[in-house]
Amino acid sequence: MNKNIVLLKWSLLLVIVLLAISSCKKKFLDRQPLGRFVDTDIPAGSYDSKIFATYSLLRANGMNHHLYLGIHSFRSDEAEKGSSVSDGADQALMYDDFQYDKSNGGIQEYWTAHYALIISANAIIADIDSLKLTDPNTLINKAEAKLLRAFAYFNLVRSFGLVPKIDFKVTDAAQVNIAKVSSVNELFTLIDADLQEAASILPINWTDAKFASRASKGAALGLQTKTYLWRKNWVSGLATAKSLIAMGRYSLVSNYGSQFRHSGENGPESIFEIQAFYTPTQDLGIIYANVQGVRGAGQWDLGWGWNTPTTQLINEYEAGDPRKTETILFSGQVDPLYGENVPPVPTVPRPYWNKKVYTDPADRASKNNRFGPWMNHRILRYADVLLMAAEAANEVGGAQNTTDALAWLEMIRARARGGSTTILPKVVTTDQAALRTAIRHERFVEMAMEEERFWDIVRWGIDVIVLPAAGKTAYLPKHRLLPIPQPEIDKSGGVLKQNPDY
Amino acid sequence: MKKRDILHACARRSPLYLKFARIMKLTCALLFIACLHVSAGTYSQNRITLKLNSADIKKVLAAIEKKSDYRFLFNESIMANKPKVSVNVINAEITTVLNDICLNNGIAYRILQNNLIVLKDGSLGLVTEIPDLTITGKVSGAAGEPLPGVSVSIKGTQTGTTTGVEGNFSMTVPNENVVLVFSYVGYTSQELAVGNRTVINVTLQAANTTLNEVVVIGYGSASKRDLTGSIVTVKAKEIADRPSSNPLSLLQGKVPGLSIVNSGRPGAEPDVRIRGTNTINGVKPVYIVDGILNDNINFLNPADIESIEVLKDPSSLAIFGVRGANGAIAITTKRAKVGQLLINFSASYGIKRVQDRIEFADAALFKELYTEQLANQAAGTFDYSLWNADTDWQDEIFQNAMLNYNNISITGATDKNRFYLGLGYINEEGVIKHERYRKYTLNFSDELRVTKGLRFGLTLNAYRAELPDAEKGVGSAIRAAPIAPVFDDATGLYHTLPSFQRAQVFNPLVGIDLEKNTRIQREYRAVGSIYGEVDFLRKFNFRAQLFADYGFNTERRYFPILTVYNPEIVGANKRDTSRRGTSVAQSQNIYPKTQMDYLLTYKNKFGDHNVTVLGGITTYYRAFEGTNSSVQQGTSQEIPNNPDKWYVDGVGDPSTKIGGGSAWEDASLSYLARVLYNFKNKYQVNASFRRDGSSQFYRLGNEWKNFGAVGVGWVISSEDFFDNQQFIDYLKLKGSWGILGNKNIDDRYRYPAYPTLTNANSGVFGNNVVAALEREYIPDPNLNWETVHSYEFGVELNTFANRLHFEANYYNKVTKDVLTLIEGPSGTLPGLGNLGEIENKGFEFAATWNQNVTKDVNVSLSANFTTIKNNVNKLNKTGFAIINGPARTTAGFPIGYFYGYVHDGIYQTNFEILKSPANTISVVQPGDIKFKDVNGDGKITVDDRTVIGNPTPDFTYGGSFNVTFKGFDLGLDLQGVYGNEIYRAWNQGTFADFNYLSGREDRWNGVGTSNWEPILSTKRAINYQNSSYWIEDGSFFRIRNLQLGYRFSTKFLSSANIKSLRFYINAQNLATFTNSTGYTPEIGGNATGFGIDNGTYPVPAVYTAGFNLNF
Repeated sequence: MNKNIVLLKWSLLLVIVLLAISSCKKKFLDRQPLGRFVDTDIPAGSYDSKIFATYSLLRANGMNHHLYLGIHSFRSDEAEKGSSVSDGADQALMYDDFQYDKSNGGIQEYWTAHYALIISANAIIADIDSLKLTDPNTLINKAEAKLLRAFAYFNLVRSFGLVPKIDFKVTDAAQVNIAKVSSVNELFTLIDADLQEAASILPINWTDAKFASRASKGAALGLQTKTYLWRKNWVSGLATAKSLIAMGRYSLVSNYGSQFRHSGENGPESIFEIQAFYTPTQDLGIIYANVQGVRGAGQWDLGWGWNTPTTQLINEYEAGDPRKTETILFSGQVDPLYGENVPPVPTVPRPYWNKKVYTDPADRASKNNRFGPWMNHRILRYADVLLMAAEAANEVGGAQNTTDALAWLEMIRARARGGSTTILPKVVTTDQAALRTAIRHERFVEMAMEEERFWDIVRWGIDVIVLPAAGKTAYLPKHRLLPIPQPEIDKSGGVLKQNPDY
Repeated sequence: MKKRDILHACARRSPLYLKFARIMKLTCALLFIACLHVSAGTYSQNRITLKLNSADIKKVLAAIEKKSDYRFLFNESIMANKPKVSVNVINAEITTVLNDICLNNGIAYRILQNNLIVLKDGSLGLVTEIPDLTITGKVSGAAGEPLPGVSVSIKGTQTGTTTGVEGNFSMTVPNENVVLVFSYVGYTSQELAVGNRTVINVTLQAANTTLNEVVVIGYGSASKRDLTGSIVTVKAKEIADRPSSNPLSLLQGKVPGLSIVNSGRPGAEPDVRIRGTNTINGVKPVYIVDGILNDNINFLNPADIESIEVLKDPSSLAIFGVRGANGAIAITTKRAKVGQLLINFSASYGIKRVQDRIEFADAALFKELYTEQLANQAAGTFDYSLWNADTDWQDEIFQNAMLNYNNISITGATDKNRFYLGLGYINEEGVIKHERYRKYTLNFSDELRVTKGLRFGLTLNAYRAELPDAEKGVGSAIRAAPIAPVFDDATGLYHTLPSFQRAQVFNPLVGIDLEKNTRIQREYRAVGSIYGEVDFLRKFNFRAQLFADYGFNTERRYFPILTVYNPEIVGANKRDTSRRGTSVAQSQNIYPKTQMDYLLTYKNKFGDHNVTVLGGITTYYRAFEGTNSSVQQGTSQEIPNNPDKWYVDGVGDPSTKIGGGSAWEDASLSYLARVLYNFKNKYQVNASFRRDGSSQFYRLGNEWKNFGAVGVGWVISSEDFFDNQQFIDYLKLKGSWGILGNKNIDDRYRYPAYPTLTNANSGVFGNNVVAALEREYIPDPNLNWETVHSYEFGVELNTFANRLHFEANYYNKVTKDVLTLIEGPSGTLPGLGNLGEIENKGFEFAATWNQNVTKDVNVSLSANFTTIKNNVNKLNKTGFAIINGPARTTAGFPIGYFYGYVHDGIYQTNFEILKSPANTISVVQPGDIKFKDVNGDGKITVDDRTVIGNPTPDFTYGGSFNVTFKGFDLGLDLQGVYGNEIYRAWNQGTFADFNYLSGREDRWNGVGTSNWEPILSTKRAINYQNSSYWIEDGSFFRIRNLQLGYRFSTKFLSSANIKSLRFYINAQNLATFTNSTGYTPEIGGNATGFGIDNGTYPVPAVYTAGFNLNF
């Protein structure tokens, strides 16, 4: 055999062995994620990007979709599932007829979305605590996390009653598999502490204009007021409401309806909104307006047509109250706002629609979308706080408080009547019960279709009266609380117990 | 060694006449076996350089053998008492050397044409002239077809030749007393004494035994007889001429333990599982195409496949280490075999149609049922005046699809070079209108033999596919109401569906017709390797191979304006435009993969001990990079429906351009070793070991893990005590045990050890969007590989004169530390950890019977049967469930079982409700489904939910029947599964009102009307709970394939210069016998959710006709 070939043979072997050895270097296995940050890539002490992610969880379907509206709104006497009878009939059964289905995907999604927010907030709070960071920005981030966590727990405690208290950073999914708290006080202790810290640290105004709608001290105080009123803690409720009012940051806009339009978002009356943003190229929108949009054909296919106003709501308005046409969009009429002719029943299945989510046709054209994903979901506004202040003051009683209550109530009615002298006369009664009735009525119409009514009638204890009167005859006191979602109970392996009435 | 010398004296002069012994010393190393088969014929190198001082003649001969291709045959006795010799020649003729060392020492020699040199005693002085004995002949198969590539050798030697393309051979033999052995893979070997014949024509019979077959075992090959595992080989001829664009789908029903669930979508990959569902993340086996590990074999042309091996047991799979847990499917593509040029052309044409339609309500029945439903829901009436059509949406979307497969291949081999070139073109339509799949394949391989001991080669599989348009499905056609017309005749626009489903269900033709040909998807792959192989020190072989797989795909998509006719729009203009602006999207992805193998093999035989040892290093790297972009019409003019304009360049509104990208990579490094040992071919031990390192766990420091297996086999029939019986021809017991690994993880978690952050959800404040970062999941700090602890034992048996071959195996596999993604309870991020244990066990049986009934008739029958019992032993902690729609995975139950209430009739009356266990789930009324009180506590609660179905069959089976009669062949394949359930989910939704299955005609609408179909009302949520109402029997039996072929006689063809020609007709999925309502009972899915019918694409019947031509 020829020498060259022998040489070739052995040099080939050598080259290959060298190749093999060189490829065994340890570095071959060291592969970092491509195009993605990992925890260690974030500069120490910067929690902005993480808290923004927590805010983004507010856009989840569980906070804005039909299930949220079902839990917060259809259950009341002011609204119902809407749309055609056959559309989503099972959801009507659930929220209009109070045949709660433990396996309903909606309550599961609601539960999951709220806990996802809590767990995201927990991680920020725990990280800041463990590093003992004290710079003002980081403390504000922590306060924002606490506010958002309190918001989520307040919804959970109102909807389900006793739920598991998860207030630690989750490093293993199994850690969250814990039993429910034994008393709602455990949850309210956490909510109170969180909101107190948030109120003390969050700025009244964000100096950077682009963050004007970020959670502020007012949001913390307003939410705190609501939690006190839920517990009938009138004294604390009054105090927090007063401290919010005293900040002087918020005012009632002169035109009641304008604040519900896209152009009126984050206005002077707004305290907290779930922020949505939509352009044809960037979709950070929410489904809130879509679920409630007019269910018609062609250009009137604005959405599902769910969460529609009831005749109880229509009838509640005093004669000539301008808020009625700002709240209700009527079928079969030209609506004055944008001059659009709403199709009549039965071309569309309902006579009334929630006008507070009605979109501007100019926006629909410019964004090339009929379903309004750009519409914010309003959570808290100044009028709500004034009415809560009035209610708390009236319940605490005393001359000064009654005077204050009447003054706050009058602020709402004065803005509503808009200079007219023939409508919405000033309430002057100082009788506590009469004033209570007046405030409750005012709250009903002022906050109509803003997802307050169900919680109001429950905390006032009139749910068992007004709901049957509104035709929702299946309602029983046990329906104040929803069943714990069955999939969560299943996943917990029996650690999580179902609510007693289910 | 027996010595019966047959000596002949020879005359002097060249060719030299020498004595020689019939039984000769075998001097070739076993390593060269493969090479000898092909190239022993003509390779020569008749000059030699050699320097040896005072050496034995035998040593000199050995040196010549080593340096040349000459091989010596001689009887040891002639070397006795020969003196030592010295040689010092440079580039001398071989004859010069031989004259010097042999003739001068009384040894005569003769050089045969195969470089074989026969030595014999030249001292006896008996000289008889013996002429050169050249034998010619032809080898054919039972049907008279020529068999190329048959090895023809002199018994007891490695000397021989192979038949050419027409089955002809010619070789020189030393004398008439030799015995020729004719052997060919897949045929029974024959031995014939030469005697006084010079022409020997042989007919070989197809073997029914595969025992001596060489099978691919991963990083090498071995005789099946020497292995202790379970490897099933499917030969090309078993799947040839069956229509399929994906070769895997053809394995359905052929291999025990291999489950294939096909999709009818052209070009779609089937769901493949070997011996059950082993794990939760990724159940696919690893594919090895000519040594290249891969995730799929979409790029292959079925016509280029030579054989497919399915590796199932631990002793075969441990060599794949962390890739081996789900089993392996090794594919060998065709290679050149013979010394002549062969051109093959084949083509087939066919038609596909949906055999089994779903029976739906027509318009009249729909109206009747829907009116009743609305009444039941107290929902007023529906005005049908605008909805008077009677449309069968299935007719509208389905078509009889055409398909056409064409292949051409050219093979050629010389002693230095062997090549194969195959080209394929597949054009296949889908059964849904406008679906088309085209695939172009090229398979090229070439091997260059520099010398006998040094070889280089390359392989290339290239592929280009035109994937079907945007995924079309049956989803809207099975839900759309029949009362809507397809078109509005006046405007020619597609009609919308009625309001009760308009928002959720679109006219099926909007997606199928209006958006036809709006997606241009191309996929390209180039999978290639180069290798070098060197034999050294006689027993060793070193092979280095570098593999690269470069895949990329491009996609362009156009979104037209969608305008439909909606009669319910108020006003004159009834046009409804749901998508009001055009847009274009463009994306490209690349998937590079590289693999390097360095393998050292040592093979030797010491007396009765046979050993093959393999050691090696292998590396694997794969990566992905993708980019995408899009632009919308915006304020610009409409983008035309013209593919030339579908680029994100100068069309559309520049302010709407957006782009994105992503990438990942991973790598592994492995060391491997294997020993195959047998003693007298009776006792066998196979042991393998692999140490794997993976980048995925590198950060955690536990990237290394060891895997291994050991198997033993005992060929009882080779024992002496078996000699006295004739009944059992072969009997082997075998068993193996091993630990394999798995690192398949959900695609979302390419870096499981790194908690990566996503910026998918930005924060929004007013009109300001701010970037946010959040974790995607919670990683377990102790994350590690999954391991599969498995064992099997089995028996192989041949009896009835080798006509019956039978195999049975019991297998047991326990996957420990299953990598599980736990969807966190209560809204936690998903966690990833080693949290489960899954067991699969069962029996596999396979039997074949092969018999030549007469000279012209051959019959073969085969059957296989597999049982599967799957159980999840552990999952996270007690009670934890992975919920995947109606499917659940919990400890103590089979993976992905269906969970819900048990249908126990329909409540007929209020009285019945009162006397039945109280239903606490919902308020129930007559007409609702009565659930069974499973736990017997006197009320219906969530605790009455139970196992209502299992998507894993109890057993699967397949069979085939083949008969050949002269030129005709007839083949029938059958296949079935038994004992699994299907969950019908597509009509469980209540988000809109759907068309009704015709079975709903029998609904409950009054006492005694039905005890199964509930009242028509979507408002009765109780009837839509997960229950056995939605369960269907998934068992089916299918006539998988029926083929009739005719091969023209060679006589007839030779005048046209054609070597062979066969015509055939084929029918696939001819009939399926099932009780399920969907288009197909074959429903794949992922590990924890399969067998759920969400509107499964039909698996059509395919009728083809084709031919196969060689010239």
